[in-house]
Amino acid sequence: MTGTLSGALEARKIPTSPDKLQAEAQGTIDAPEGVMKITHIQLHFQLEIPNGKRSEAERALSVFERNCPVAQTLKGSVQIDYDWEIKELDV
Amino acid sequence: MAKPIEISKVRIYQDEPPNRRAYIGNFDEPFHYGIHGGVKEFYKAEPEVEHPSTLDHIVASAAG
Repeated sequence: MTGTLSGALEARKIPTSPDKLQAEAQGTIDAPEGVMKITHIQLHFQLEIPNGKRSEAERALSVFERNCPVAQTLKGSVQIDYDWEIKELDV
Repeated sequence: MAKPIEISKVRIYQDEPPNRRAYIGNFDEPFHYGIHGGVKEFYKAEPEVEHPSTLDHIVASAAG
C-alpha cells in the first residue's frame, strides 16, 4: 500500500523520497478455525510533506486504497485498517 | 479478547519511487519491492532498478 500511496502523493506533487514516507504494519495471525491465517493488518503511515499540502495529502490518503493491487487482492479476505500522521515541513 | 498467535511487525521505507524496502521483525536484511515485466508496462514506468512487485511476493508466499 505504501507504493500506491507514494504514487498518489507524487501525482499531487508531494515528494515521497528520500525518507518522507514510511509505514509501520502489524499483521495479526490467529487460528479462528484451527488453521493459522492473517486476520487483520493495521498500518500506520508517517508522512513528511511540504507546508500547505496537507489537504492534498489527506485526499490521497482517502482514495489510494481503491487503486492498490494488494489491498484489492486481499479485499474480503483480510481486514486492512490504516491511520496516519503528517508532518508539514518548510521546504 | 484472546491473545493472537503472533503479531507480524513490518516497517516499510519508500525509496526512489516505485521502490520500497520492507524490514520484517528483527531480521536485518530487507525485502525490496518494485516493478518489472507486465506490472511495469501497466504503469508505463521505467525504473532504474527493477524489483519483484508486492503481487509477486503474495504469489511467492502462497507457493512457499
